[in-house]
Amino acid sequence: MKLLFTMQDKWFRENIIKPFEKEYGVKVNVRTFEKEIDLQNILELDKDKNTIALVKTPHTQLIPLAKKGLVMDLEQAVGDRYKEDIKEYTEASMDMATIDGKVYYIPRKLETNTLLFLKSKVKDAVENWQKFEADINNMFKKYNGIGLPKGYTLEADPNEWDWYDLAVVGYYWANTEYNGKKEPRIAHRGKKYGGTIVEMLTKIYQASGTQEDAIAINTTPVKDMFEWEVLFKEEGIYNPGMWEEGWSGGGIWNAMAAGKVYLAFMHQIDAFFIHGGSNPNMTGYLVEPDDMGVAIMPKGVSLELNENGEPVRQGSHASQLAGWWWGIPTSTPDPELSYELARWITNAENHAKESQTFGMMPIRKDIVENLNGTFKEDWMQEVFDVANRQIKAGVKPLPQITQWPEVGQLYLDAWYDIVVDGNNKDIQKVLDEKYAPKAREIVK
Amino acid sequence: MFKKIVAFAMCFMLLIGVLVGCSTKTEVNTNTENKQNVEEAKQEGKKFKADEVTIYNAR
Repeated sequence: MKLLFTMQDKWFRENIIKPFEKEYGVKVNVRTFEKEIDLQNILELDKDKNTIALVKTPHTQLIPLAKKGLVMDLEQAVGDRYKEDIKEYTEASMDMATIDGKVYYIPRKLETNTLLFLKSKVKDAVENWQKFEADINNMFKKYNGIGLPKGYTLEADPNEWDWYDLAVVGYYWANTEYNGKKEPRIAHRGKKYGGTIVEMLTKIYQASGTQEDAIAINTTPVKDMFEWEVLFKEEGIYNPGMWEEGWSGGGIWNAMAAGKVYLAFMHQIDAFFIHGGSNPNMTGYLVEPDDMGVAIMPKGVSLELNENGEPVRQGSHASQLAGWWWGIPTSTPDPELSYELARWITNAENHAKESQTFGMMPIRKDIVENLNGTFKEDWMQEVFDVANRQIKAGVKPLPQITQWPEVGQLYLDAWYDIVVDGNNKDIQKVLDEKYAPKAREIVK
Repeated sequence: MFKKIVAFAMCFMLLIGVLVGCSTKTEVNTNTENKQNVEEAKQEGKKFKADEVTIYNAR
C-alpha cells in the first residue's frame, strides 16, 4: 500500500497542486499524516500558527473534528455560495459531509468493498461444484444439523450469491487441484489493523446488523458473522496467509499474483491495482487481467436453518461505505483559498483524471452519471457500475462514535481469539462474557 | 495696445486653462485605469490574501 500512496501522492502534487499554484500564485505545501488520530493534534497545534488550509479527513474523523470545532462549516467559510456548488456532488458523499444539518466537508473520494474474483475460476466452480455435494452437505451438517438449504442451487452470477454460495465455491476451490496444488482460495484482510475491522463490520451489516449491533459486539448479527468466520477458517476455505502473514489489501494483491487467491473483498482502488493498465506505473497483479470480475457483496444469511431448510435469518447484500473528505480548519489563514482549493481538486477535469488513473470512486454526479464517457475501458466502467449498484444495495458508514477505534480493536482481539485460536465452542458466551462488557466499558 | 495685451492675456489664460483641464482629465483617467489594473491584477494574480499554505494529505 506504500507503493500506492507514493504513486498517488506524487501524481497529486504534480497534476493537481502545481497547476493550482501556477494559476493563483500561491505556494501550497503538501504534508502527510501517519495516523488518523494525529489529525486532531496537528489541528490543535495549528491554532496559533494559522498555516493549514485543508485537511484530508477520513470518515472516522468527520464527526470528531466538527464536534471539537477543529474544522469550520462551509457557510462560515464562504457564505451561501457553497449551496449551489455542492449540488455537483453525489448524495452519498454529501450525506456524510453533513453533521447536525450543517455542511462541513467537500468530498474527496468514496470507497466500498465489493466482491472481486477470477471469472474463469467462478465458472469452473459453478459448473463442477456438485461433484463435492455430499461432502459439502456433511460439512454444513456439522454446524447447522441439516446441511445445505433445501433445494440449494449455486447461481452462475456472483451478484446473486449469499454466504452459503460463497462457502460452496470456496470448498470447491480448496479441494480442487490448480497448478498442481490444493489450497484455500478465498481471503479477506487479516492484519491487525483497521482494514480487517472493516471486513468484519461489512459482514455484520450483511447479516442485517446495525451500527448499534457493531458497538454492542454480542447481538445476533455479530454472532452470525463469527459463526461463518469459524466455518470458513475451520473448513480450510480461508487462506491461512490471512493470519499467518497478516495480509492487508496489498498482501491479498500479492496472493492473487502468486495464484493463491481467487476471491476477496476489495475496494475500487484495489481493483485498479489488481487489474493494472490505467497508467504505465500500474502494471497489475494478474496474468490475465480480463479474467478479473467484480460483483456486489454476497447476501448475509444465518448458518442456522429452519424446519423448512431455509436460513432462519435473511440479511442483505450490504457493505460499508468509507471515504475521504476535505475539511477547512478553523485555523485556516484564508477560508476563501481553502474552499477554492478543495473545489479545484474536485472539479470535473481534475476529479475525472484522478479517478481514471487510480480507480477513485467518483463523488461528482456528472462523472457517476456518465461512466462510459469518463472511463474508456469496459473493465473500469464495470468496477464503478458495481460500486454504484453496491451503494443502491445498501451501504452504511462506520459507527459514528469517537470510541469506535477502541471497540474496533476488540473485534481484532475477538477474531484472533474465536476464529484463529479456536475459542469457539460457545461463541455467544465468549461474546457475552469476554467482549461485550469491554465494549460497554469503552462507550459508557 | 492695451486691448491687444488684454486679448493676449485672455488667450494665454484660456490656453493655460485648456491645458490644465486636459492634463487633469488625463490624470483622472490614469487613476481610474490604475485602480482597474490593480483590481484585475488582484483578481488574476493574487486572488487570495495568503501567499503560502499547507495542506495535509493522508499517508
